Amino acid sequence: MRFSSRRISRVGVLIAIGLVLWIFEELIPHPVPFFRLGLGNIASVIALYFLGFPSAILVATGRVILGAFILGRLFSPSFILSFSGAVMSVFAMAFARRLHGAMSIWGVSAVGAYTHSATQVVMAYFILYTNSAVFSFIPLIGLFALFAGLLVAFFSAAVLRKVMV
Amino acid sequence: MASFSPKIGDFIAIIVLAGISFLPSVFMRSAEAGEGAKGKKFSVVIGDSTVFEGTLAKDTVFTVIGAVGAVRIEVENRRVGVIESSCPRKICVAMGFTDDPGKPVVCIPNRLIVEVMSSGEEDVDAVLE
Repeated sequence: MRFSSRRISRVGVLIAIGLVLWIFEELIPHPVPFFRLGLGNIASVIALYFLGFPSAILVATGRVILGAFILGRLFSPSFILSFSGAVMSVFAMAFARRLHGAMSIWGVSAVGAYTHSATQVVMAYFILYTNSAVFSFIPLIGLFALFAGLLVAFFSAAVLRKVMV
Repeated sequence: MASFSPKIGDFIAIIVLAGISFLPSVFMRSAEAGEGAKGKKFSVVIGDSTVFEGTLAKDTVFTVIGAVGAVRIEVENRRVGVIESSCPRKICVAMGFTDDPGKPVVCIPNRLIVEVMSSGEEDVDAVLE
């Protein structure tokens, strides 16, 4: 797929926005794993609605790779978790959006956040040592992800209302 | 085009995903119940040798001979403890019953340790009181 220079610049701006939000959130201490808002996903959601699926994948992967560079954890386990989570969530959101328009941005974003968390939990199970205590938190992780997804949808919708005329 | 009001599909998706969140814990609970039926194992050690091994699943009473005399050990209600001992201060009896791998019942004069074996999961390193 050929990208026009206009699209490339827009993808770049969205990567930058996602990067700032992602690093900002990364620097906040989060003592309990998996309980994070995923503010970086705002950029993915905006990209999906504003520019479409291929751009959204670029925004998600670009954000995670550059973010890992900046925080010095490229190819570390936490990078693999972030990367797989971000990519899977964009796929899930694109799929949810295609479901005959049954879902608005709220549902799509919630599905994305949920997929993000679910992917990370599953990957963490295979990659990291995780004691079973984490798995008893799965219901809470899921519910928290849905809440985070709605929050992301709130911000994304606020931006998209201004951008999409 | 730029309408972002919620649709019915949103609510369905969120409710379904919230429901899915609880699936793993349901499976885990039934797995735990299966393990609970088997019961934890415990062992009785005197000095350096293990003199008895059993499970907490079945209630029993038995006697072992320690360094100063007989010690009566009971398994009741998935817990094990010392009910009678030949030692002078009966501290082991006072320790009550245990089902916690981190909390053995010990009789020092008899050189006896009644210890619940850990199931391998959710291990703790130590218990402080």
